[in-house]
Amino acid sequence: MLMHNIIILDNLASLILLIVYSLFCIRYSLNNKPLKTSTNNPTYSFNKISINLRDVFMFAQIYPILFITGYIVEGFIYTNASGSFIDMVCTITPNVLLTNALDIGIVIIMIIVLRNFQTIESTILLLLAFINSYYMLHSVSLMSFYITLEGMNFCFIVLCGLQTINKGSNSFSVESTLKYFLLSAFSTGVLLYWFSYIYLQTGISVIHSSIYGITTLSINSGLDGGYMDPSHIGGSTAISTFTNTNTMEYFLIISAIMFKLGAAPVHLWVVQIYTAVKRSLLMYISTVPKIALFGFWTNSLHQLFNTGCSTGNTDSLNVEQFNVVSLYSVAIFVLFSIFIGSISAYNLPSLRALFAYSTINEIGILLMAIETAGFHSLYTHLSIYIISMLLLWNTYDKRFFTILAISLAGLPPLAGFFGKFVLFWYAGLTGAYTLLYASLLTTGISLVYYLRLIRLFWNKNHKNILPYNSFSSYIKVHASIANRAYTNLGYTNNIIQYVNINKTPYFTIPTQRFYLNSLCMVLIVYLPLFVIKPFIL
Amino acid sequence: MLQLSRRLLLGASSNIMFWSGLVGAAVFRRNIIVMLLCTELVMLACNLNFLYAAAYLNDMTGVIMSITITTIAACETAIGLALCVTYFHMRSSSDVEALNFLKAAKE
Repeated sequence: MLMHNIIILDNLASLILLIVYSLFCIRYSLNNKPLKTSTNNPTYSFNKISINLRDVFMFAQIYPILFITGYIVEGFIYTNASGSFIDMVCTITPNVLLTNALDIGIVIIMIIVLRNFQTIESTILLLLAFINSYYMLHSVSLMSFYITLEGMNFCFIVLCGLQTINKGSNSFSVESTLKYFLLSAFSTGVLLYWFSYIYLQTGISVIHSSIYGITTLSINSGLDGGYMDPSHIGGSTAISTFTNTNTMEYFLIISAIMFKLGAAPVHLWVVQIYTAVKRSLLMYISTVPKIALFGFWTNSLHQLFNTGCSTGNTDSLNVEQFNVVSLYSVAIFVLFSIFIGSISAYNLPSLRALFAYSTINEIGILLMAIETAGFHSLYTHLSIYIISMLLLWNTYDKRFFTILAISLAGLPPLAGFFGKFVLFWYAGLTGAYTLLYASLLTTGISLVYYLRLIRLFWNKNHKNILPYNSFSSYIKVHASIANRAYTNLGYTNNIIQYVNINKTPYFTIPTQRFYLNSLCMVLIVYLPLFVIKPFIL
Repeated sequence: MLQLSRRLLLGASSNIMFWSGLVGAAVFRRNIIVMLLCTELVMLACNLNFLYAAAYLNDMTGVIMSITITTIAACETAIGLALCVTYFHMRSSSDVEALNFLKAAKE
């Protein structure tokens, strides 16, 4: 475990070196210009070696792979030696392979996201956000969870505030960032308060999900000044001193996680951020934190939400037998999310806000999975959702967009249907009928605006398709297909968004983005084969 | 060892601070500087809670947590103030609707 931590520290040291080298390049050389330029900007050379920021970019975009080289060399390891040097605790979780898979998922997504950023400061901030999310996956104690959560928040906030449109700063994005910042500050403050309460009452701050099948908060060790052999820390004895899970502290801690995920009723930042931020950042925020949070949740608190389906035993499927807090705490968020996500999206003139509400809807369904269907189906649907998001924020083509919309709506031949189908099936099987009915209803309601989008893009005469809004007659819907998303929602009633439906480009996009779009589309179309395989074979 | 009543009083101040911060943020939503101050209050209250718990339990974890919370709160404040500064630079002073910092200063 100690060797593992040394490797992680090594990776972090490489990041520091990267930052130093980039600063050196900025001070002494050009950024991305060719070597033959005017005499105002010379390149610095040591014995005919010239430094350029291109090299830093090249390494930075591949940097996340350092975190999974261990798997390439050693293979998948069965002990989840905690990757967080902050914790000094080793755990053996049942979901080790899943954590390893999530690692690789985060790395791949970060490499895709990093290709879209052209400035070094954005790249470094994204790498820091990646590191924080990676450690959140592997974190075991409340302290490391808090630190990584805040780190992710800060990196994202700074990136949102830094962005410019057409080389000018944008007050709309800064305003949205301010609101998100304040909300996140208070949510983490509340989280901390309840951490301190738990710590005061019990003296323990480590969540230990052991192979013995109980989630315990185990006693801290090694921090009382005495010498502790690293091999004996944590995993040797699982002392269950705090197994009472029917408490409000878990609910209130979960509400902080819900804030970051974007579940209602703490969903207000999602709409603001989705309308104000550029698409490459949205690719990050809609994929990586959700993986990290769900991963942390499964590794630490999964036994709280244990149902018959997740263990494979389908004999006793009555949910009331299980923990009360788990059912009634998450169900509130589920119901709020799915109703708000489906009904608020109806007469919106802004497509970004529509996608924000569809995100809230999807998160509601995923939360339903936690208490009814188990984590395997949760991650199935989550991966389908992530593929959809990667396609959504990259697509310039209305044909890709139609397939995506059909998948998001949950219509049969594509992957979105099978993700939702499994979750609804298990919801019915475990007896959570209220949630099932609500989710089916809202899925039907949300079909309308997905299909309306398709009609909007393919019909040249869009006057009869859009809803009529009483407060403005100058509505023109903007598709994420065009390069500009400027809204003026706060201060005027004229919602200025421009449409380019008839001029949608077909293949005028960069090659790598086209490959990404094609890959996502292929996955959405052919993934169902792998999802339905266990039912048929 | 102190009496139970005295021990409870030690933890009361930080709890009062925490709830004051939350309620202040809810009431003073229109003033961004007060919001930042309430954030700081909340962080400090949690900090003191951890220290109180560490003293009560005679455990080091609370102290370490306290140090980390302090650093993170400082970073948070820095980011918040930087955002405020950029926001104020972009907007004209007459166009401030939700941020009444200038009005409060004049009174």
